[in-house]
Amino acid sequence: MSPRIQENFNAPANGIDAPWSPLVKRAKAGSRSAFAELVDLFQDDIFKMVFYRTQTQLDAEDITQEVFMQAFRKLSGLKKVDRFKSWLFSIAINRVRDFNRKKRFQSLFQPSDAGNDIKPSDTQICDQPEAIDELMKQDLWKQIGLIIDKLSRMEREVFLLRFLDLLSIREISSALKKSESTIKTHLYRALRKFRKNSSTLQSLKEEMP
Amino acid sequence: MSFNKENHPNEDQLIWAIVDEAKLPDSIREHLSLCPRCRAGIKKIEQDLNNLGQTARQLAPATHRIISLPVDKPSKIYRWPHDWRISFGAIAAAALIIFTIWFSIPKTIIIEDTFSIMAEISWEDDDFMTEISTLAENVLPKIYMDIIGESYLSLDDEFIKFAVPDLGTDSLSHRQRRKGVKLC
Ligand SMILES: [Zn+2]
Repeated sequence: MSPRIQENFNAPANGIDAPWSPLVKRAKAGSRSAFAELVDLFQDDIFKMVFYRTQTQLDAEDITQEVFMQAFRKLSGLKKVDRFKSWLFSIAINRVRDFNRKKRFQSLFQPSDAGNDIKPSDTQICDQPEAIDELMKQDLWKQIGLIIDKLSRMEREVFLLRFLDLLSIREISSALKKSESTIKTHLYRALRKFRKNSSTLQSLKEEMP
Repeated sequence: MSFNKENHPNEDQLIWAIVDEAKLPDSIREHLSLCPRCRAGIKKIEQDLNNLGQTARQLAPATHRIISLPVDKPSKIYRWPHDWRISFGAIAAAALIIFTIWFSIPKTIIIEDTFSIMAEISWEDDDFMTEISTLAENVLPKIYMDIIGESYLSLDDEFIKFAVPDLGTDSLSHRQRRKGVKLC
């Protein structure tokens, strides 16, 4: 991997403790305050990760709460403290999957609104002063959604974890419980598809204020 | 160091360079490290990806939700030596309590109680066995026995002699058999 990307999306290398490892150790020993610090450290990452996949703020906040609750309860099961981040993400991935499954099931009994996967956030656009910005953001989300929709489930997950959630290959491999080689293959395929469709996204991004 | 200026890697190889440069042949890796055009190509793809990540982060709302945690402490690591001592202490304390209670109760009470219970059980057993024997001997209920007069019969030896005379003394059949008369 090129040094620039590695620099941007770096993660603790083998044998080197992650910066949060001491906190994880303390939390495992029963320290509530250490766990609270871990929440501070990762809440935003987990919330955004969930938001990218659910597209609603309220659901993302609820799921984030559930993720930390589960992590709090299951922390003793975590063997390697330096894997805390990928472990947390793996919990979040599962919660999002459960959420989407539930949503799909519910949608069978509810009239769907034109099958639009990417929806604006719960905020009411028209009531806000920056309504145009908000509309543009929504357009961008739609574009991102259209690109991501072209990927298979696994390609999409790997792509999002790598370039939106900024996890390293090793962290993705640990979070998805797949070999690094498998992750790289999915990433390669995802990037090929992304390259074909990213021009529209780029032009939209340039129009952003 | 010299490299083939004409032989630029294709886009797929550039993508592999982003995913895992080690997978590419040495010749291509060498080319990538020296060719400004290919380096710019890789940089462009990386920029697109960085833009996408940044854009997504900008578009995502901020969360102000305060994460609430359960009242209890996070589940602790199981520490064998520490917990072993606690477990051992708990087991010893429980055993001590049981022994104290056992020795504080007078044993005579326990033994007496045990005998009285046993006696009660055997008493109940006797009653039950008598009932069974009665049933086995007199299958019919008492009321039927009364109707057929059975309950009034006293089957003493005198009555039986009268009802069924002794075969060995004065019976007709006995005498006939002695004479060699065949009875039909
Ligand atoms: Zn070149």
